[in-house]
Amino acid sequence: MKKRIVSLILCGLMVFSAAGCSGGGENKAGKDDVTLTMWTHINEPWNAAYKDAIKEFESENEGVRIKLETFPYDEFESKVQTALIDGEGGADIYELWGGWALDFTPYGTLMELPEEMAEKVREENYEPTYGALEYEDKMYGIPLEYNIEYGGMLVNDTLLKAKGLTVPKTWEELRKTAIEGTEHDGNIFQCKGFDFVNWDSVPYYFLAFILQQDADYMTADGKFDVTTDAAKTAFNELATMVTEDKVTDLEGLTGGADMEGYQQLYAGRNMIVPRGPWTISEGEQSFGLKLGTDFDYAAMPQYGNNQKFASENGWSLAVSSSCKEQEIALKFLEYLYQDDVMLEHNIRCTQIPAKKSLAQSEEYKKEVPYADVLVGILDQGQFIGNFNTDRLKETINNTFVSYCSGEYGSLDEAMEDMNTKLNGILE
Amino acid sequence: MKNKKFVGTVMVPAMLHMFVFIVIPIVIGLVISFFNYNPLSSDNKFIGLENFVRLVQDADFRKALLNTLLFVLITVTLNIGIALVVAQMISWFKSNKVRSFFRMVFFLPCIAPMVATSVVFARSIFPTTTGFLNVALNKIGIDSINWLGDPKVVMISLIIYTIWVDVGYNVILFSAGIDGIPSYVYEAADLDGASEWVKFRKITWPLLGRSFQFVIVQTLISHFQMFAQFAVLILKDGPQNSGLVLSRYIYKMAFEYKDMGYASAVSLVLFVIIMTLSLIEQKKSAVDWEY
Repeated sequence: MKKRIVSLILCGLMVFSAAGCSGGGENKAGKDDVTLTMWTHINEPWNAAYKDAIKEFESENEGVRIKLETFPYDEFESKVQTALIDGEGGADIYELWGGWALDFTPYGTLMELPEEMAEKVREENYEPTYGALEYEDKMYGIPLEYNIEYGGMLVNDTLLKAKGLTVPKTWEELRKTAIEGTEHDGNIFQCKGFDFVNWDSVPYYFLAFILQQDADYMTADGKFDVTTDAAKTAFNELATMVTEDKVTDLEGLTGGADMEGYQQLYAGRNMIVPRGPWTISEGEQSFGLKLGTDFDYAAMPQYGNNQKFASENGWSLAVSSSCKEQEIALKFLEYLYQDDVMLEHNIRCTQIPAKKSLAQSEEYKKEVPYADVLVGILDQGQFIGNFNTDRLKETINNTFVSYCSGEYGSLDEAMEDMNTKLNGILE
Repeated sequence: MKNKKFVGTVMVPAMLHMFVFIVIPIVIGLVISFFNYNPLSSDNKFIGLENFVRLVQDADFRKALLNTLLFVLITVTLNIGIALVVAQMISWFKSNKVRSFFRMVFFLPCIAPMVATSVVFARSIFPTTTGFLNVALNKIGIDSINWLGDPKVVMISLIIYTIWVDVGYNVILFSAGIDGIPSYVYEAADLDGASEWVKFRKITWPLLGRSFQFVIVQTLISHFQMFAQFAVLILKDGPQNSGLVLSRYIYKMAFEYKDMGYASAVSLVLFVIIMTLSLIEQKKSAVDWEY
């Protein structure tokens, strides 16, 4: 009796486990079913857009299934890194941020795109959107968006009007407006006129101001050079707004605030904050404010002779080289890369398109009107460079804090020190 | 013989687990520290002692080491001191229910995830303009303090938080130790007319020797390895790296700078420090009595 029961349980388990092996089944067309895994970070509208695109792709490709797995942003990078290092397990298709690809492309962990597709990516997209995806003239992914932290600024209309001020149109006007809009109570700010001190803005504005003087922060042989007059002028321009104009403080880099600068703008404590357009949805959804009434997204007045700026890659998609069904994974990338699919994805995710034609299209401008202040300057952007951008930002920000706190004897000393540390990143 | 077999059988899984998950990773870490190691690369160069030479010249490492030693020295001393006083005070209550209530109150912060409580402290307690601490200070006429943005104050803020979050665990351990001391010892002291202070100094303190040994070693180890508050409570290691400690520096080197070989060298230093201090402490406070 006992043996019978055991045999029955074992048979049941065999049937159950055989049923679980669905990967080897066949579809109506007689081909084997294929299941791919795709990893992205958690972002509700983005995940919904991916799901719909996957659904559409699956309906066009019988027997193909793409399983979307999402992870909190904080742990996403280490998750991707561990999976790609391991080679086995993990996903077939990865969403990659900024310069993450730089760590993987030299070691063959990502699948190389076919030359024809690579050429399309180069021709059809803005350069700053795919720089980190390229290695030795080969392309390892498709860019989804243009990551732009320069060129736009959030303006608290209520505060601006209350002080009888208007949105500044020139750099001089901006500095003047910032001073007039700033309010202190002793050492405590009641309102910061222009709160540009945050992890992204100080480095990006510093680099942009160098470029806008028709200079460069890198030499022809690929080294940093921030000891030039243009670099010193740019750095000093930003530093004096903290030390002399006192339109903001260093809290955004040193800590001590209860919210980020742009959130403080939504809370009515900052008047102007330069940030990317990704901050807009938070103002509307979390703070219940209305774009165009309570706050605006305005064009940043240019500092120099033009609107040149540096930018690192935004989000992109790449296929793991250990993916067993690379052809199908590539087919999915090609599907998403189509103009109409990508446009819908960019609109739903409120991304600035990486593709030139989409960013300049009437449909996009109509659907995402606030992006209008940025699309006009996209072609003036240049890829920031093949290095760890977190270390670049850390170096510039630390020097900025130290200089503004009076820890350097002179501006020259600060720039020399920063130059040495920046070149250390390249070693 | 049978007993030996049984002990051996029971020990094998534990030893195997220790070997696979503790000994092997330590050895691998040691080996990696001699390489310019990138796990993605198949060509990792052997660089000998280069990573260790770099340690000596690295100002950030020296800062992290100093901050770590300062943090551990202060938090461990304060933690044990406060926990002992609190445990002693709790033991004065005769009612078991009251004693349990106070133990629970002090233990509550230990249950909450440190990442979550760090966020609460960063967003609600310590902020300069809206934080609870400064609002309270302002009410009694004291100027606001930049708890998280002033390099001279950042470590103090981290210590305050760490004491709050971690003291309850040692309160429980000391309470258990105090409860374990036989009551007849105190009764004899009462008959001799000993004061509370004399009872504490002559009975509680020496008879808590075993508890002390365990509490000091485990607090030392855990405080050397603390990470959450350094990663979440302060922004990017604090101004001028005022909140940079070795555990955070290891993470930064390994996962932000992708310099695994160097991170392993730093880990090895931390490992040696913890092991040496633990061994010294164990030797110093060895107890050879029982009641």
